[in-house]
Amino acid sequence: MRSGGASPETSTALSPPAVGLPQEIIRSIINYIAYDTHTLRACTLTCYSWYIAAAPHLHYTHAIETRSLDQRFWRPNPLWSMHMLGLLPLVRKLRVIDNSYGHHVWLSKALFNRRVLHPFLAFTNLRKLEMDFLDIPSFLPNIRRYFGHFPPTVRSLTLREPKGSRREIIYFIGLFQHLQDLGFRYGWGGSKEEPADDPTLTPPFIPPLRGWLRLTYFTRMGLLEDMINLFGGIRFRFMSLYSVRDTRVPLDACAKTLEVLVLELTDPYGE
Amino acid sequence: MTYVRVLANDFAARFFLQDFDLSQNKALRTLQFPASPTYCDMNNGSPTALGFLKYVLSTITSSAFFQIIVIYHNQDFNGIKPRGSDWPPFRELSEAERAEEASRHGQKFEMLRELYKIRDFQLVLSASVSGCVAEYATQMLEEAVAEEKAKNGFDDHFPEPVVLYDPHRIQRPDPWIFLT
Repeated sequence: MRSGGASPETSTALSPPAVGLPQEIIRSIINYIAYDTHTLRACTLTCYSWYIAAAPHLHYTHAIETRSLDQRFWRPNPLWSMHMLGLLPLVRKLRVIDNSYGHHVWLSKALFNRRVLHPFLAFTNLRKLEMDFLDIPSFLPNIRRYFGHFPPTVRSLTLREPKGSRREIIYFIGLFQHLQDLGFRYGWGGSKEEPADDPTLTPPFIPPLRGWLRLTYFTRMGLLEDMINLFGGIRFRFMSLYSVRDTRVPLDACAKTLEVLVLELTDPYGE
Repeated sequence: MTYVRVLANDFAARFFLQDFDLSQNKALRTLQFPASPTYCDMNNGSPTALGFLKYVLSTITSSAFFQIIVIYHNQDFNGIKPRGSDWPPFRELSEAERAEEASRHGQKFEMLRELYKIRDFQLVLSASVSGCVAEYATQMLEEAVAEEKAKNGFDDHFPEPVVLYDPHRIQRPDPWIFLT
């Protein structure tokens, strides 16, 4: 295969066969190695068309340590660098993680200074969102200023030990009008039930919630019951449960829809 | 309240048996569980995981139910090296290690035969492992199935399982690795 207009000699010299392949063939090849990061990196250095096919896979997941958000003067700032390179719209899965033991850093409004908020708003194509220790009350009432750009695309949300009352957490979930998968992850010892408050806090949307429900060390059954009431039921087709108090609540709520049940006999997060 | 202790260590998960009444779930078609704890369970001589799974299976009334998937991860294979090890990502097993792994597979099949007494299902052994060891893992499972076939055979009372590879989506590295 040759580029049009070039002499055979020039074409052979400038366009080796792999470079001249149609883009859809290149995409198929790259899809095959989507899980092999080292090979993907090599592909991005081959030529522009290979870079275009490989970059979305390479930047599929972006992980941010909550602790690093607070280090304003730390250089280089990876989030800012990614933002300046225009790579953040390629990210499909964002994980805001806290790996510290003992003293967790809450993901609160106070961390969202200009250098964090600007790049954060550039995650415009996210499909999956995972957030550790999200302090929901700190973002209220203007929570959409920080998360309002996510809802059109996000299909999967996992919250690890979120802070907030039942209503506040349900309100946050209700921001995502196309949400299919939902996960709650707590630590050993389970979750602390907090009372339902502020009954006027009504979720803006009723997400479909027809994909996966993943619950780990989950004991906040009141939260789940309120969600079922406010959303008019839940219709998950897939469920993964580990150390859940009163599994009847999710199992009965999805009695007509549940197709696959995963019994996690050990902690799926290895804690 | 009746419960079973699924694991024998401090991270034991407690499942309340009556909560796992699946008789109301009319669309349920697949039950999945990981391979590892049942190994621990059988090794410790405690039938808790087996008892739990038997109970859960006995409550299923869905006419759509037809499949149990046992999920194997990297750590379920003696020969797969930890992530970050040198190439190749797997190693040759010693005779003792082979015997130990074969024994674990044997115990697993023994347990699955017990489950099959509760109700019929299609058994799938799913290798949910990293891409670089997919071939190795599926080969190991196929060998285990062949060994079980030679030893105890498969029949209508316990049909031959299907071995599948389910790509485990590896966590892509944090991009700042590339930027610093």
